[in-house]
Amino acid sequence: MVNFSVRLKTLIVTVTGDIDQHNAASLREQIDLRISHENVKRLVFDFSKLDFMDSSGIGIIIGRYKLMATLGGKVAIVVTKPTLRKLLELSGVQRIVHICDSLSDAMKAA
Amino acid sequence: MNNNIEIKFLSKSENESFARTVIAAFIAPLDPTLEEMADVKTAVSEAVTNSIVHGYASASGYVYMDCSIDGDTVTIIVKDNGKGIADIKQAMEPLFTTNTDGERSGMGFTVMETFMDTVDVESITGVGTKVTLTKQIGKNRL
Ligand SMILES: Nc1ncnc2c1ncn2[C@@H]1O[C@H](COP(=O)(O)OP(=O)(O)OP(=O)(O)O)[C@@H](O)[C@H]1O
Ligand SMILES: [Mg+2]
Repeated sequence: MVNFSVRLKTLIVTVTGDIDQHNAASLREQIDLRISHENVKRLVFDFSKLDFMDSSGIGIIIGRYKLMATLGGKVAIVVTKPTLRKLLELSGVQRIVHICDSLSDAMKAA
Repeated sequence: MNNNIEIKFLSKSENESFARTVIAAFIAPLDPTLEEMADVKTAVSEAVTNSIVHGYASASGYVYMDCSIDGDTVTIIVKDNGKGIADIKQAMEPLFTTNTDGERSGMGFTVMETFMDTVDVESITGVGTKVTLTKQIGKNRL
């Protein structure tokens, strides 16, 4: 499940449930559609309520980072679970997006 | 051996979450921490997804999962009769992927190696791939 909200030209993408290869394509399409429809400058992934993510999610984050970079925007991610944090650090994603503990931190970082 | 289960399922992507649910229920008696539970589920998800998207790709076949508990160690064997891996060493390198649509990160094996204690890969081109994952649960318990 994915929910969208826009605040101060920032698109907040809140994902609940699981991100795996099975639902990655649909999630990607929904996010890209929003980015192209809203006039947003930044993207925040709120994963604080996410139950599960594997490397399929890394592909989504890197792809959206590249998309936002072409629009001159930044990306931040809210992460609370240790396994998810390890996954992001491992993949080097933390070098290109801001990894934050809370949505308010992410809103400032993005 | 204290316990063992074997399951097989068709190489459909909706079975990725099924495989995670099975392994979570199977290791629950070892009383893993939330982090250990998430680590094992993530590693299994990577191995099963690889069998589905790379092993069988657009073809259909069975993915086999053999899970054992021996003392406080869980062993999970994920096997497919798919196309196999020509160069295992290269496949296991971080960021290596044969996928070209730019939406795979090539991190699956690296994730398995980080989240489990051991990862062993056997593969024969045209025959299939067998990935064996082990992890001791409760290592950090007092
Ligand atoms: N079961 C398998 N059968 C055939 N080839 C495989 C199998 N598992 C892995 N491979 C090969 O090894 C490569 C690396 O796998 P790995 O899981 O590390 O990355 P990926 O699947 O390409 O990307 P990601 O897992 O990050 O989405 C794959 O691109 C594929 O070529
Ligand atoms: Mg993979």
